[in-house]
Amino acid sequence: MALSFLYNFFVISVMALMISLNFRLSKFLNLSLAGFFAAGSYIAYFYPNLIAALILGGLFGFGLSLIIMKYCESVIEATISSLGFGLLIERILYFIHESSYYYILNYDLSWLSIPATLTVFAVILFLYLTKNIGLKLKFVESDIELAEIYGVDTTKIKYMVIILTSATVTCFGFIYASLLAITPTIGFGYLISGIIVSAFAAQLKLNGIYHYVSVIALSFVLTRIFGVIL
Amino acid sequence: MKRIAEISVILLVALTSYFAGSFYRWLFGIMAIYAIITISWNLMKTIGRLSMGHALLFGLPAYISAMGYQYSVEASIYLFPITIILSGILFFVFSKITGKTAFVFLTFIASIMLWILTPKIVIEKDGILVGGEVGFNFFNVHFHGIFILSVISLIVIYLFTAEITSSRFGYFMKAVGDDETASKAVGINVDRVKLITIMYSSVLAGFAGLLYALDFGHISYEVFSVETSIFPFVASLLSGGNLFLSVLSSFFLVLLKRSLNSVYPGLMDVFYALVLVFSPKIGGFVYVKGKKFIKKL
Amino acid sequence: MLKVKNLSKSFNGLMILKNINLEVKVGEVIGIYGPNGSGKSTLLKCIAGLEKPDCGKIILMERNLTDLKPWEVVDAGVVYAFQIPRPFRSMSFLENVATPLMKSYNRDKALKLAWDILSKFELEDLANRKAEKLSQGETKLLEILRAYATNPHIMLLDEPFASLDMENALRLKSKLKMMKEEGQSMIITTHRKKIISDLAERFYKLEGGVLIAES
Repeated sequence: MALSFLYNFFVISVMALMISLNFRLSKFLNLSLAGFFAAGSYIAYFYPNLIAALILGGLFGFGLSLIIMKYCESVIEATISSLGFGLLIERILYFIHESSYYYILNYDLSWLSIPATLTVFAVILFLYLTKNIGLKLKFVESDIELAEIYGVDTTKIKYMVIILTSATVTCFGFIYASLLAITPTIGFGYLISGIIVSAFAAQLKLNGIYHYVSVIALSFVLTRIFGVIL
Repeated sequence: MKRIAEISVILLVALTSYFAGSFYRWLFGIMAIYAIITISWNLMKTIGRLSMGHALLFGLPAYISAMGYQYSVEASIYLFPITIILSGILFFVFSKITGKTAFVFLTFIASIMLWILTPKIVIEKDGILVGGEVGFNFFNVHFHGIFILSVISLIVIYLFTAEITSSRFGYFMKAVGDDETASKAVGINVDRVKLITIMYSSVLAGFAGLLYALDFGHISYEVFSVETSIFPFVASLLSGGNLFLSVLSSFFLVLLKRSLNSVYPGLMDVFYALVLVFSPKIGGFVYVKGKKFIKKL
Repeated sequence: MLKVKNLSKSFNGLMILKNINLEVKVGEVIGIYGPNGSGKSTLLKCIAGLEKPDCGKIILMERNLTDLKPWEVVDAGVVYAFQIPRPFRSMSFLENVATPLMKSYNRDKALKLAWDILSKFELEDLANRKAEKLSQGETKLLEILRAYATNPHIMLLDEPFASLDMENALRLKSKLKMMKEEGQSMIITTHRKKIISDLAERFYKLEGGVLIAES
């Protein structure tokens, strides 16, 4: 099913924001978001409860952050671990539900994408504009080691970022399930689109809230141009 | 002496497969193909570039060649080397415009994009649409022919690569892999080392892709799957980066895939996923334990 | 032998080097000193081709090195040794020193020549030590010997004594003196003039991007 421009823009911008948050604050490229998105879609089909999707996404994020904190010392190691984590979820979905595609026909929660997207934008804006939290986040973005030396609890920030971004993406998978053909690989296209948008935004070398605003703007532009292909 | 022993082990595995029956003869062909991909991947890792998109180098030349095959045999033959060269140049450009970390991401994205986009490629042949998710037919070589071709190719490629990596060029490769800036500062032409290594890696991976397509007589978008990109990483991880052990671990992984997938289809992907998740721990573990084991021997 | 003419370099609009003029004769050892951030490393990196100057020329024995790639500059006879050593971690001390020699010789010959260099400087005991297991002082020695192995006309040593204790600093100085006695030309930067007062024949002070020759 082809999505309208707006629906594409919402999901790609949120995915790009989550990728950016993970990269700038948790210091790795979170490739498991595709698997989380797919899991959210499957929950929508088999157990349509948004709270369940939120909790499951949070648990995924917690599991992933434990692995990354315990075993991974570099960006590449954490990225590869996250890829494995996402693939594991995708494989489990294949095992549990072997069929090719699922379609949700009896309800449509896609309207939730509007308030959900605006909520994500607002939360990020609020966090970065709040004096205390915003300062800590910018500190971690620019130099995580120095931030740690100066007393910022970087471990807590990393955990929170991974958990919240995972929960957010899982919820978006839930919301978008009624618009898409549900398969375990449903999230990959959006993940790649999100990475491309984030990568372009990173070239602008903006900091703090300006970076995230540029991510949203670039999502709009690139979805307009490439939306159909992505 | 060491090389003779290593080739003997490879030949032993090949001969065992030969006498074990047709199925194992065919299976050795697959093992050899994946071993060549791993050798190709290891070369790029030596210059410090971890590719998570090797499926592109593996699958694209054969895929484009198969598309050409729908029109004429000549088109198929010409397109193959051209695509190998272009793929290699693409990876070289990636290595020039990115650091080591971003190279991982960029190659992964490139490979996944091919996996997403190639099912949409459809061409018209004699009024019929071919391609898409089904893929394209290609030349088919009997698996006996693939067996012979793969044994000879693997041995030649292994010997040649082992010689290169232990030669002075191999030192330049390792130096570039350790520190590009320091390599430039002591007079190593880093661009030339990277270009030669990446092009050679591209040729090997493309050749492996060709063998794969010839074996099945068919190629589809699945050749660009994440599994193909992950395979050489996992094989190298289990072998601690040693070239000969990478070949053996490739053999092992292909056999393991047959075993696990016969228990339950897709079970091997779970194994891959778990290896990736715990890769920082596994890599160190295998290397340290492996070295201790070899020292004891 | 080496002439730097009117070299300037800026980063993000900030002028680091202003109209630098410098000359080094054959067999000479020049000292450049100045406070942190004065541009000493930048000057050496521009000469070595690791940074591109905004303007100016670098001439070695009538050959213009200004637009050459770093490896071409090394081929021409100018080599740079980093302030913070950058050894090839997967190789041993001997292999690190041998690697630049492999441009001109095969592997075995290069290893033999590298061994001869280590013997000359009485460092054979470090030969098989992996670079990642060396101490700070030993890594500094590796950095300098690796540069020396390229058989340069002139070596550019960026604060070679930085972060070294007295024992390692004296050990390094003795090796540099041996090189000087062979006629090796060097430019050595430091922020403490005193430490190279018995090595360098002439001094320049670099401050505020301006190079001033001392009489």
